[in-house]
Amino acid sequence: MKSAKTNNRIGSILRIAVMMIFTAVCVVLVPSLDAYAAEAYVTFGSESYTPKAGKEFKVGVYVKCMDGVGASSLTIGYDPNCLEYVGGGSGYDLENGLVFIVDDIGNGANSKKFMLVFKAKTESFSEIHAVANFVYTYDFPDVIMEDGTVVPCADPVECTITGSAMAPVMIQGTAPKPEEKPEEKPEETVNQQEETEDVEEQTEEPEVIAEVPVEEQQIEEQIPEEQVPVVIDAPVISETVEENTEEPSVPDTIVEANPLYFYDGNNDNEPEKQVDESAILMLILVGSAIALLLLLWMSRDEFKARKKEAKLYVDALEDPNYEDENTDEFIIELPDENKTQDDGLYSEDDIITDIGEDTTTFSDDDLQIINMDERLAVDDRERVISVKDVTMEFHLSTYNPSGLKDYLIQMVKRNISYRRLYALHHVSFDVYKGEVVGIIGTNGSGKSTLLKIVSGALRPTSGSVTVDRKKVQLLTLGTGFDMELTARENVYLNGSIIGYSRDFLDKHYDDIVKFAELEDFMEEKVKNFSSGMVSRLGFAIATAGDAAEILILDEVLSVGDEFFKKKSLARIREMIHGGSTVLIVSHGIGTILDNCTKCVWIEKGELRMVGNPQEVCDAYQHMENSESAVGA
Amino acid sequence: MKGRFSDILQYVFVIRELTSREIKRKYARSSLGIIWSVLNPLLMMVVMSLIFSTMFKKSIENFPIYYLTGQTVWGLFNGATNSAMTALVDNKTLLIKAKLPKHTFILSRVYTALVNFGYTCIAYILMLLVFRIKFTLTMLLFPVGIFFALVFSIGLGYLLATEYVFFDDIKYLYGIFLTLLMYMSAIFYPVENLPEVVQKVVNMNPVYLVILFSRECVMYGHVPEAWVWARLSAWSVASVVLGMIIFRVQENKIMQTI
Repeated sequence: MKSAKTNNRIGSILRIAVMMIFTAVCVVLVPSLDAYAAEAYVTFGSESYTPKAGKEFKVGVYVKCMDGVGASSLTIGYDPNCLEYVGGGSGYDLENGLVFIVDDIGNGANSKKFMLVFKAKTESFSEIHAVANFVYTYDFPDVIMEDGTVVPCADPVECTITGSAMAPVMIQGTAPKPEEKPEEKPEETVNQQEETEDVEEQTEEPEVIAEVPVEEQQIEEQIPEEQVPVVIDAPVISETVEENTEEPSVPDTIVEANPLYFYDGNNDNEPEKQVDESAILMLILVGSAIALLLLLWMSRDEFKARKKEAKLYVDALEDPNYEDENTDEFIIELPDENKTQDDGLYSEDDIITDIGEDTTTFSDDDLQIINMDERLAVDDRERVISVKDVTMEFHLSTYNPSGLKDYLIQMVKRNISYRRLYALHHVSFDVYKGEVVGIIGTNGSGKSTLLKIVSGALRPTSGSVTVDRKKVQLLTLGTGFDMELTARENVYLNGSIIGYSRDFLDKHYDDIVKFAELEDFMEEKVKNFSSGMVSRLGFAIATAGDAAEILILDEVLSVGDEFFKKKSLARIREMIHGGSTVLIVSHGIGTILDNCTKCVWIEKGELRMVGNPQEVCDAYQHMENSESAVGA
Repeated sequence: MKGRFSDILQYVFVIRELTSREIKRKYARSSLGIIWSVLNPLLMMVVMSLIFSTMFKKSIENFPIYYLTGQTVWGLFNGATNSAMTALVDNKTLLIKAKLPKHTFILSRVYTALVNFGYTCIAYILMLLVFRIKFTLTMLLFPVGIFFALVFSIGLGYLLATEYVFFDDIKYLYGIFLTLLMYMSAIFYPVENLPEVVQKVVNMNPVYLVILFSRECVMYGHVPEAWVWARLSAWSVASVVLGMIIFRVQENKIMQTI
């Protein structure tokens, strides 16, 4: 078993190590991928062009960037001797054979296309190539307000451009002489260009114009200064690039110079329908929320109503006349207790000792007398626990709804009624310092409820308990044991719940293990323990501490085999003789007779007897015998 | 005074022990154990990024971090409230037998979620390094946002735990509510894509507010705006006060019903 365990451990450690290495490798390697290093490419539509001399031909310029194409500034070089620029760019330098394409917004898609138009001059072989390019990744588009103001968003990131674009141009045939003047050309090509561009670009709205002035500031920053003067030659373009302050009055000029596509994340075009839909959705949501709240509220009311009813009932009970008539009606049972106490830890037959038939019955008067005697005898002693007229009342629904729906149906039908269970009914007694008090009673008679009330876990419905709760220690077995944890972990968990500090547990750990005789099993999961082992461990933890001033033992004394039973009894005796006041709940009459100086008998929630253990136990057993006789 | 101090120490010790039980229990049968708390959000991030990062490429910069920020915060809130809900019922016997303040169990569940969140944060910090998010001073505000989330969760936890004692159905209702809340928290999509009406609702969502808060201070290096602070504080205080009151009022009835 142990080796398997260690094997598992080694395996898991190995796996963890592999994981760590893996993550470490990831951390080391991944930065080289660099999430921000956006790359952009500038390419031409065809690998080569073979126009006929004298003819115009189109050259597609593509900007590609995986992060979305943003603002870009391209310079395309051509041989002015072989080619003649016709249009499509935002500016040109005819002497040096340069065409500029400036786009200050981009479209956010992975690629953007520009269309240039050239005219072939003579038969020759030359090339067009990208000279200097700047491409920015597409970021959040600047937000344009309705009044035309522009709110710029985060700065775009500059892309590094890899791969130099080049396309050979072979011109075939001879050309007629080119006659056109450069000034006219852009205007001529406007139409051409608009034809070639996608339809969406014609849908440009005046909004776009409004943003241009501000955007141009960006352009100026982005374009290296040497390039700007070149642009000035072209009148139309200079208007958009240079004269920032002047509102471009003619929409066409801008559109033609620089086809803009404005991406709007909000999709304002289809607002009305969506709002309607969402409004309906919201209505449904809010409606159902309100309905749910109402349901919950109604059921809350039901609870309240019950509470009030119960209070009335209690009031009525406290009226002596009323009580006489109704006492018999109370159904007193505590199903939960039956379960917890009968957990197989012990069987009653083992412990109950035979008794003779000479038991006497006690009337109320006797009880009174015994009480008085007790009081007279111990009056000078300190009273540590005083239980006064304690009533504990439970509601049990006679009908258990399977769910909210069912519950509501039944509620509407007024089918739901509640039974009031009196786990304790006007119980009073006192415990003085140094006493060892046994509490007896049949299953479900309210013993454990009484202990819970004394220890403070429950508050009584009426009546009061006076006790210094700080001095109380409730010993129960295996409270909070978790079967999935090892015994060692359970010692700490259970110990902490009982109220031991970490230091204390560290110090007493060995003692606990030794007492429980579980030295070899502490790293084992408790679910593999036998029930005897579990209770031994529980007992060892529960009694590890120095005895508190008031000890409450709930079925602690019938644990394990005979040897352990003796051992545990000795331990308890030790604690008792240490001067603690002790409350013991037990079914074992023997235990009580042996240890207690006083006995309290509770039957069906009522206090039957308080007094000398021998007398009370005799009466208890007499009742038990007579009941079984009736049963037979 | 000294007694009170040791009481608090004991209280902390109990919560820690309960928490370590929860965690050990949760991973009792898995061989990787607590590593899953780190691995799970990472894998989720990968999956979500694969699916959604191209979809929201234009509007979300650095989608994986965007998602992971939302997911860690959501995980904290989800784990804390969901487990706090069943805290009282699950610890029935302890509640009756042990002399412990009853809210120990609720707090220990929330604390468990926080510890889990701590492990998730390892993954988060790792990813911040991998994606080269620059360190800014505003990142130090991140714990403040988490504090808000925690306080809000505690309040809601009290409420849910109390109600769960009386109505089992709360569990299912809350499940649906959580789904709604998750989609209203803009964990993997940009809020700007929503219609304006819904945006307004989302801006009221406390979980989204925490996520927004975290994104602002971790990803974008901004100090969150005043209205975010205001709404978060309002939510947290309201939830805790309400939760405490309801819990206090119902305390004895809880003991009887359980």
